Amino acid sequence: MFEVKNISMIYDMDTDEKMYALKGFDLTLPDKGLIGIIGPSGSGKSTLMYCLSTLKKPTEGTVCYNGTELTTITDSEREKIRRKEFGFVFQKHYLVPYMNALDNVLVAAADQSEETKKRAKEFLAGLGLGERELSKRPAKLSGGQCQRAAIARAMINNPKVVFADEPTASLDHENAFNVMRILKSYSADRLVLVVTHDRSILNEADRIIEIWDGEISRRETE
Amino acid sequence: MKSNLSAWKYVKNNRKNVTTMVVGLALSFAAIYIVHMLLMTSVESFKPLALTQPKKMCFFALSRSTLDQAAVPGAEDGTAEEKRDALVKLLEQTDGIDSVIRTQIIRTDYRAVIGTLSMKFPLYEAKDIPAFLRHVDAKLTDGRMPEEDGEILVDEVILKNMNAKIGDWYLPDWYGEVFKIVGTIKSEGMYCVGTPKGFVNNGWYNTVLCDGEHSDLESLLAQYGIKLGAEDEIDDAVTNRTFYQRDCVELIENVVKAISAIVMFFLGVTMLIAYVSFLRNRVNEYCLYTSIGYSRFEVYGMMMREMLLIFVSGLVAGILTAIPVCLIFRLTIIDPRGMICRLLYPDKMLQTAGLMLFILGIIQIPLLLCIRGIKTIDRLED
Repeated sequence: MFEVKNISMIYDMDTDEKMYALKGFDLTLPDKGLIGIIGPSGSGKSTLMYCLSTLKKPTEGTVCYNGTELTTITDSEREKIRRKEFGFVFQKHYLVPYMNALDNVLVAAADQSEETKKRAKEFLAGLGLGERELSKRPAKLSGGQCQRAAIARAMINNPKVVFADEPTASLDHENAFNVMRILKSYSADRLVLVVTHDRSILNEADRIIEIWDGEISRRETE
Repeated sequence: MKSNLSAWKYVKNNRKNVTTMVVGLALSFAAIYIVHMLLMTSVESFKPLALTQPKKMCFFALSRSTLDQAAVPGAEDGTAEEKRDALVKLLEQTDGIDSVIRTQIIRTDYRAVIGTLSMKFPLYEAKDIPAFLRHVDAKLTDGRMPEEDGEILVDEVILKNMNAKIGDWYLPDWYGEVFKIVGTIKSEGMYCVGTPKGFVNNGWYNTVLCDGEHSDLESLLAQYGIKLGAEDEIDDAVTNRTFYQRDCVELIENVVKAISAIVMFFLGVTMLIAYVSFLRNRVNEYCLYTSIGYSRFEVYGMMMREMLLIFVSGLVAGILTAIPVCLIFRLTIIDPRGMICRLLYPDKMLQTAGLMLFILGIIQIPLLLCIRGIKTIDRLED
């Protein structure tokens, strides 16, 4: 699905002291499975995820997604791919504060049909948010409930790839494992990339990629 | 893929913020409209007196020196009195002029919200008054016709403005005698008429009863060799129209424009400050939208639709506030004081709506800056 070649990301390009977030490596990712990208803070793992998901453009190298070279396409094409094919779970949930849980999921949906609404409710129910929580705004939901709503938002369009950046960072242990169980279940026929520095949540990962100082230091496969 | 960024969701879920903005817009609109309507009451009230009345009744008073120098046909070498009589005859022979009669006049002040208009009305012999009323299309609506000296008929609206009633005595400014109000009349031009005290047909004024097409006395007098000087007085359709347009309509419109500009300036500044804070509070939301694949154009579209919804609601609420308030003013202040007003000024509504759209245009500046500055969430998390 993803073919990454010689990818580099340099911050502060204009200064003498260039900062390499990614230092020219190759990577191939499959069509499905739960892939963990692990590494300490500042290692470049989030940058890699952002480059794969078109949110960032690498300084050098290519990122090929299903035969499409993501680094050369237009902004509009990138937006289309993000909207149609990718789903995002960020470190913070970024739910829209004035919308209820259901509307927060639907805001990312491809349409607002009754069928989509039904699917959104099913998603949220499957993630443990009951009928009462659907009409609550983020301020009235717990951190775990918010993150689960954010996961439902990421999955509402049945994306081919879900990018999850520290999805459990703001959750307690129990909620963290619940979230990971959901992502694992979704990865049965889709690709889920989880960026984290917490190895314990990647117990069920199909593959773990360890990044250190912008380079892949270890590739583990279960 | 269809955009699901609905403007309605923000409006529906942020009633407090939205209501504040809608109320602000509505009150600004209503304030401008109500002030406009009140000030325009002067324009509307003076209109029958300044534009309609002189079409059928004009006055002129010529000084002795003007008549001395005038070459009135048929009385070129006559005295001033002979020239005046010859001029009256010539005028009466003119098509469209029914009569030119030397009359005394009395004046009354007609007060509007802003300004006072001093109006003249003629004093005829009692027997001539029915003909006068026929000429000006006035009907006696209450009371009786003047029969004795010093009795007057007053237009219904003027009577209200004078805060008087039938049977009251009226003391004109400089006549030196009181007149009794014996009846009310109703006409388009708000005429008044009465009988003099003691002397008839000996006034310095000439009252010209004419039709609408022959109410330009200055031109008519010029045709008969009269060159007007500073001491002469002409009160005809042209002088009244000029006064009305320059000293009434333009003046009041300029005042209204100045008030509108001040209100709109403060509204614009307030809206700009409120909107910048509104945008700042929603940066994360906009970043989320672009991150999950919405284009900046779609986000801009949503923001514009929200603003339009707020502006249109403000406008509608403003109209719905302004009209009843204007109606209350009309029923409690304007009508009882014999003033005339209009409730609906579609042109002013459009103009104010246009000014609000201009403010919406100014708001595009922070909006576009915000759109340009929208980042994806990766930048927020960096």
